[in-house]
Order: sequence, then C-alpha cells, then structure tokens
Amino acid sequence: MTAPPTAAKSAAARSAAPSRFRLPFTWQGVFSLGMYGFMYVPILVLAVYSFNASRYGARWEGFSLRWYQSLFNDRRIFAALQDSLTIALVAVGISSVLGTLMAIGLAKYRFRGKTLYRGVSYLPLIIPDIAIGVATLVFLATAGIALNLWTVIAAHMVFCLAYIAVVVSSRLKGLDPHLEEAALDLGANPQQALIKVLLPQLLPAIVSGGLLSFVLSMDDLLISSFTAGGGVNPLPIEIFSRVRTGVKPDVNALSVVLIMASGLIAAFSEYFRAYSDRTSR
Amino acid sequence: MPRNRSLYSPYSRRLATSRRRFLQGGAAALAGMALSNCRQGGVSDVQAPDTETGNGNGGEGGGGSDTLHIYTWADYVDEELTAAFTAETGIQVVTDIYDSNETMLARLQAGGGSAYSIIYPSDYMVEEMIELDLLTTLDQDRVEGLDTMLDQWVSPAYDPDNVHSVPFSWGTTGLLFNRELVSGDPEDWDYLWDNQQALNRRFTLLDDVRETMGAVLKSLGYSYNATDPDELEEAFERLMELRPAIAAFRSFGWEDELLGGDLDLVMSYSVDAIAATLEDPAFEYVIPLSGSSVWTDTLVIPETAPNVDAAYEWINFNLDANVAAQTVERLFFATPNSEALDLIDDDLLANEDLFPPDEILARCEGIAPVGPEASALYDRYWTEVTSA
Repeated sequence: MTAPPTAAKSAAARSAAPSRFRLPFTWQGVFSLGMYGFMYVPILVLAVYSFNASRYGARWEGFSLRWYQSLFNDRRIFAALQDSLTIALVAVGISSVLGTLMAIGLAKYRFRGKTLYRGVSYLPLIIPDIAIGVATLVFLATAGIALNLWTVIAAHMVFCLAYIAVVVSSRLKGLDPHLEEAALDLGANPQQALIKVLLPQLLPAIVSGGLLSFVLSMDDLLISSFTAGGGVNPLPIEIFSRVRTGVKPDVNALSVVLIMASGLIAAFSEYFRAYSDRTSR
Repeated sequence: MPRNRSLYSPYSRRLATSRRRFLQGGAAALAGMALSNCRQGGVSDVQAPDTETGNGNGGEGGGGSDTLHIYTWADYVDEELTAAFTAETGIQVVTDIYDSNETMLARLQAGGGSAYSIIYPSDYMVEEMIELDLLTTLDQDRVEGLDTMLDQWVSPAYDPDNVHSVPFSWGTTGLLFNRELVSGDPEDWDYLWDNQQALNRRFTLLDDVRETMGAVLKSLGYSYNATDPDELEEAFERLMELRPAIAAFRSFGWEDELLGGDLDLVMSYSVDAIAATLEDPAFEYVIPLSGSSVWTDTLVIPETAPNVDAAYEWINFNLDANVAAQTVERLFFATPNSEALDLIDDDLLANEDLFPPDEILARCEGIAPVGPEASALYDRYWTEVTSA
C-alpha cells in the first residue's frame, strides 16, 4: 500500500507545479497559431489592400472599390482566366481518369517493363518545368503540330497525370484487397467491383490528387509559355507580362475574387457531403 | 523596355541574369536539334495559322491566310485597335503574349514561333535577333510612314536605318524624387554628387550595370556606350565617390519606401516613375539635363513569318498617325511617331515625363552593346561597386 500514495503525491506535484504558471494556451497551440498566421495573414493583408484607394501598399488612402471596378472592366483578364480554367479543368479531368486507371493497373497487374514504366511515369515530378516546356515545344515543332489550346492541355497533363497517379497509388497501398475479392466472390463482375467497391474507396485520393494538380496547372507559367499558342493566354502569362508596367492592385482584387470563389465551392461541397452522409445513414 | 524585369526576382539581378542565361543556354541547346529538324522539314506546317477563318481569300500574294498571329506584351494589346484593323483590312488578329524578351527568344529558337508574323522585341533584343538571323530585312518600299519618326529613331543604334525593325514605343530613365523631402531642384545627375551629404543613404540607383554606369558616364560628358578604358575608369571612380551615400542598387521594389518617406530619391524607369507621380503630386520625375537612356520596343517580322503581307499591313496600320495617337491615349506610352504627337490630346502631351522636351530627348541615348572587352570592364567595375 505504499505505491498509491507516492503516485498520488507525484501526480499532485506534477499538476501543482505548472498550475502556478498555467497559461491559457500551450506551446503547441502557439506554434499552430503562428504557422496558420504565417500562411493566412498575407492573404488577409492582400484582401484588405485590394480595397485601398492607393496604388501602393505603403499607405492606406481610404476604402475604395476602384480596383474591383477596373478588374471587372478588364476583359483580357477574364479571357485569360477563362483560358486558365479551361486548361486546368480539362487537363485535370482527363488526367484523373487516366491517372487512376494507371495506378490501379500498376498495383494489380504484372507485366514486362513494369518497373521501368513506373519510374518513367513519375519522372515529370522531378523534371524541371522548363525542360518539360522546351522539350514539348521541340517535339510539337518537329511533328508539325500547331500550338493551340490542346497543346497546352496535353503539356499540362504530363505533370497532372504524374501527381494524380502518385497520390492514388499511395492510397491503393493502404487499401484492403480482400474487399474487392469479396465483391467478386459475391457475384459482382470486374466492372461492378471497380465502380462500386474500389473507386469509392479511392475517391478521396483522386479528389486530392486532382486538386493538387489543378492548383499546379493554374499556377504554371513556364510550360504554358512554351506550349500555348493560337490566342490562348493563360492567366500567369498575362499577369507576368503586365509586371513590366507595374502590377496594379486589380490583381489583388482578382485574387480575392478567386479565393472567395474557391472558398464558396469548398463550402458547398462540404455541405453536400454532410447532407449526403446524413441521408445515407 | 527595361532589360531585366524578371518575374522570379524583381529584386535580384543575379537571379535574373542566371535565369536568362539558363533560358538562352537551355533553349539554344534544344533548339539546335529543333532547327535542324524543322528548317528543312515542315517549318511552314509547324504552327500554321488557323486556316478555318478562310484560306485563300487572297488577292495578296501567296500568303493567302486571313489570320495574323502576333507575339507581344500584354500591355500592347488593345481590342478596339485590333477590331479597327480587322474592319479595315479583313485580317483577323490572334495575339499571344510573352512575359520577357528572353522567353520570347527561347521559344523562337526552339521552333515555337513560326506562327507569328509580328513580334515586339525590345531594342537590345532586336540586335540579338539580328545577329541570330531571326529577322527579315524589311522591304522599305512596303513600309509607309517611317519618315515620321522622331530624330532619335531615324537610325537607332540597335538597328541602323531601321532595316529590320520599326520603332513602336519608348521610354526613358531618370530621377524620381519626393518634393517635400528634397532641397533644391534636381535637374541633372550632378545633383547626386552635390547633395551627397543631404541625401546620405536616402536614395537608390538602378541595379543595372549599363544604366547606372551609363548615367555616371553621361554626367562626365561621355556616352552611355563608352568603350574607352580611361573614361570607364573615371566613371568608376566617380561612382565610388558616391558609393557610401547610396542606400541600395534597386530597379524595382522601391515604391513602398519612397512613398513611406524612407527614401528621398530613386533612379527609375519612366513607366514606374510616371505611375508614382500620378499617385501623389509630391513626387516629381526629371530626365537629367545632360541626358539619360532611352529604351525602345519595336515591331519586327521574323524570318519564319507565314503571313508577311498581313505583317506589313499591321506595321503600316500602326505607323498611321491616327492609330498611333489613339494607341498612346489608350495604352499610355510614348510613340516615336512625330505626326501622331500633333493629334494627341494636349493634356497628355503636356506630361513631360511621358514626352520630354526635344532638346532633352536629343541628348538621350539608346543602350547598345559595347563589345566583349568593354563589357568585361563594365562588369568588373560594377562588381567592385556593388560589393564595396
């Protein structure tokens, strides 16, 4: 009967000592706050300054919708945005189908040259953008293919495919293979097993891989610089080309509009997910 | 336009240079292969302009296609003017844009520029492209209106007699200062040396060897493109005198400090400076009396142009005084077209920052290559100055 008192004593001592200096937060909390602040405060600053009457960040000259006005009168920016969205959506759409199938194929089947194939398919992750861009351009020029919207999409698919395949592959490794086998045992044909059992389990990975490559595609300057043509001018090229005469805060306004739009989309998808979870239960 | 406005490093010339070198080197290596393939092969097939808009509607030569592909800067695209061009000539215009002269060159060298019949390189790039045989010699009989050029652009240093290029727009380098903080009247480069004490650590110079060394050379009465080692050494020593007082060498990113009052004066490109003067009347921009540098953006027809006829139409359209005047009013840059100046709104013309008086402009110079020896000397002095 000696153990409990000492344990109680030490526990009391342990809780008593910090209680004198107890702060309302832990260091983990402070750290997280700091990190989130580091990530989000710049966005907040950008949002605030998009309402600044002054062109420069150095001073606040009053609230103004001037930049939003100039943004919404700027047809070129929206044409560029449309180009960027089209490229990203189509490239990601095609890549998520092909990338998922590729990951499943690599996980399930054995074939000659599989290791080589796997290595090559992940190569775009480590090759610099400029090399992809120039190489694609040289290839297209040699093959005599005119640059247009589809050449940019194809070039973007090169890296989108790799990102989606990587994310889906890692998810596949963590899946229980018996579930699909059970479905086949219970009379599902391979297509049904794929669509009803495997794909729903892979969906989070496909979506996150898709989002990742969507962002990269929207962001891409170098590959687009070399492979866009025929009047297609994605947003990054348009903005960087304007840097020459100074980027005006209407670009801040555009960022705010884009962040709001993606926030809304995320909120809606969360809402629908929660809604479908509730109804399916 | 300013030579090293690189997107990855607005504040660091070192990175800008290395990116440019990489672009050039990398592209050149790959381009060797591309060019050997497609010069003989189907250059005309590559990137052939969209023909669905009507091929062979051609009374004009063999070009035939009614689409003109232009490769340009985002600032130079104006939908109303292209619509006017289409209405006048029936030629559809498709514009692609690039973000730096180096990207444009790299893409051209890799074989990705053969759709374009018109490109807008800056002065130093024109020279580089001429050396690489990328530009056609303009048929002077087909270009109407080159005689309207201001004196500076009759035979610019980067392309004597405008054999390969047509000047399109230009700007200057000068001093931008805060009237409330600066005493006296900065009028010339000498102001910096005369007021070294008062300005101590409160001004910046451009982070560009040719611009800054050139300004010092000019203040000594020499040329921006001086190659004489003695003149260069004199300029170097004069710059070293000023060195302790210089806050930083910076081409961009001085805006916040200047507006916040932490800097009194900056050496800047006219486009940036004009934006600041419009923002706040306390700021004033001067082009130094002894002269400064001018940059020029031009119109050129590349060797591989698929639609040369339309390219000449475009050049002549842009050389038209009315069109040039409208372009200035809408896009806000200076035109080298003297007839257009008469048509421009007086308020705009009165902006001396945009259109400096002729006598000052006459003393300004374009920056031209100085050859490898002088270039090495410039770089050596510059390294000493910036690392001092």
